[in-house]
Amino acid sequence: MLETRELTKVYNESVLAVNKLNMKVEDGEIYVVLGANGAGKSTTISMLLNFIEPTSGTALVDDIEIPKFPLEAKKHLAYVSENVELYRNFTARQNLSFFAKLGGRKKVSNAELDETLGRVGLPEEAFTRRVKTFSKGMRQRLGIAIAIMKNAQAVLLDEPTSGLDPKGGADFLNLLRELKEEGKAIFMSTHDIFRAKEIADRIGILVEGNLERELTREEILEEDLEALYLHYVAGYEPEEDAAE
Amino acid sequence: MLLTLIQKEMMHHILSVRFVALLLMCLLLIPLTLSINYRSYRQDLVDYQEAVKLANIEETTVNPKLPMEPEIEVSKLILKPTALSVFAKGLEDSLPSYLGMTRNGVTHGLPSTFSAPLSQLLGHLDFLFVVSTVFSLLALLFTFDVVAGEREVGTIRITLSNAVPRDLFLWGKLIGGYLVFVVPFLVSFLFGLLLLVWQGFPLGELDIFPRVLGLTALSLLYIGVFFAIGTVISTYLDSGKTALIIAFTVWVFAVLITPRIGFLTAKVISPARTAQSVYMEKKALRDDLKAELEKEKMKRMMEIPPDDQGRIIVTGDKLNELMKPIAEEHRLKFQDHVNRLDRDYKRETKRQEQVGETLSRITPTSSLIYLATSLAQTGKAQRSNYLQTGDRYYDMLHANLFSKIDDYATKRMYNLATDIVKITQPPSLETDTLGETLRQSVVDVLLLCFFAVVLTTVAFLKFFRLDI
Repeated sequence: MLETRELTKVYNESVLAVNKLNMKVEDGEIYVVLGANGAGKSTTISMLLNFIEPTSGTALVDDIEIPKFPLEAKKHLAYVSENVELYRNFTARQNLSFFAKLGGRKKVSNAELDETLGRVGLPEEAFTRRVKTFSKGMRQRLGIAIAIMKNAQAVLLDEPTSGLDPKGGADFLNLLRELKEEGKAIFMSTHDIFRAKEIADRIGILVEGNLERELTREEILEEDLEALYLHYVAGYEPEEDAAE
Repeated sequence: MLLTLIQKEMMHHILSVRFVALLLMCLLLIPLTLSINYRSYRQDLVDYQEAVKLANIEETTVNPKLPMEPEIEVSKLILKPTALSVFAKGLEDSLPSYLGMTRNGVTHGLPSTFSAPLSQLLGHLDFLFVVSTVFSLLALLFTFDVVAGEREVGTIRITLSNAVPRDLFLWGKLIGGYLVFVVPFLVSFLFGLLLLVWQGFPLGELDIFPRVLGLTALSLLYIGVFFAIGTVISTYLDSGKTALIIAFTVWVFAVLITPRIGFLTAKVISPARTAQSVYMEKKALRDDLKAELEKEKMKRMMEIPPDDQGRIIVTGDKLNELMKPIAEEHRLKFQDHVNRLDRDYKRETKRQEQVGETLSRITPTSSLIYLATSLAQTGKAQRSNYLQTGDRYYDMLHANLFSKIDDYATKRMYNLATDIVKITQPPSLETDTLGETLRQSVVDVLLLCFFAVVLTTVAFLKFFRLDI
């Protein structure tokens, strides 16, 4: 379980990036946070990973307070970034092996590495290829493989589908569903309303650091998510637009 | 965990293009410069032996009762090349090839650079140059992106999303990078040393081997300082390209500009006369005093009372006796002036050099050069020993010969068989022991350690507070 309590970040004592954010992601749940650029999505993830210190409030993973016990908390967190670059001169297998060891695995066999790489849909010939020859989609798959290998309870994804082609995006969502079925708490930030609608159990709309609206799965299916998003993010009124 | 990070960092470097560049530099430059400089040293040694033979000081005798021009070099202290100059040529080429002993004082022979001025124009290539210039740049190329590069591509976020303490992450990067850097360096150096031994270099000698070890340790420390500089730059910037530009600028200032600026500034802050101008002043002083003495001599002669028949008859012996106190007075006066000139000159040059040396120490490259040349016996201490030995030799010659020469004798009586003086042999050039060298270089050792520790600490402190 992942939770934030009054989580706040103010940069340089003047720029409010995240304002008293309260949210909870249960195990086996996919929580998607939608927001424009600068809404505070990445800042929230950075605070959850202790990359930056919160100004106030706190965050917890499996009841471990992240700012107080960051190293212990990180054992329960996996992360997939927007652009999974990794070490370009390493092969997929070498990258995965390195991050698996950092994730706490003592010894990882090539068979296990290959199995994980295969699971995320990387072709076998790519296992021993240098990552610098990979497409973005392949790198994102490798990023997911790293998260899977860590076997953490909570998975944080920072705009993981941006730049992926439709098939790549669909495959990626299937991988997330698999993780969800394994009982992981998944927290994903994105601009992509359509994929959010497809995958999310709950959606939070973040505007200028404030969580303006939270939608349940039922609400997501019932409401016009695009219009709602534009309303909160850009101030558009759906009725007025329709009238025009 | 640390081991995993170190292994990854080593692998990361080994698979990169810069490692190929490092390997090439190591394998080509180090053995090549050592080998070429050893050949040059052997040639210098042959030249030295020839010069000693030509000077033939052992056989030279002088009769002090005969007049002797003050500019004549009655003997020479010839500079013997140092075997360790193979590693750091230092001041050896710019020191006078010999110190000539004249009654006017010590003259300086032309430095060996005089015979090859064009090669000096382009600079000397030795192990010290390779370490101070080439390897410092390579060290920065290895470290400018340790943090900035990872931040740019985002790998640092994936790495630190695991339970990796930040200090371990940075240590892993530093140790891994440093190991990948120094292993080819040490292997090439070892290969270079084997090549030298094969060519006949006396590496096993007690005074040489510890100094070579010292040079190796010093090079590793200096490379460590530049690793720390690169890491500091990298932690303060989030773009690899910017970090590279800043690192290169820092290198230009630290290695190429600042060491030179120190001495240029010293010339302005603390001006000093040149050795040649002091020599000319001495010469002018001697000429003035000689003219004054001649005048005095004439005056005294005119004051001699005539005999009963109104004639002025003075024998040579009597005249010598008459003039002796005046000549002695003039000699003392001259010596007093000369001593004062020498003292002032030495004080001025020493002060200027101290100011320049202190100012130049703002950069680790200067400390490396001072230390390495001290270890290689081609630095300031060696120059000082050489010049002091020259002064000592001059004093010996002055006591045995120059002080006995009488410029003002009207009548000279001598006996070839008994008056001849054999010229005192030049004393052997003293060299500092390793202990003395280290004692004299303690400031530079501490400065290099200070740079390494402080810069590494700054890098860590910044990295701990960094928003990733």
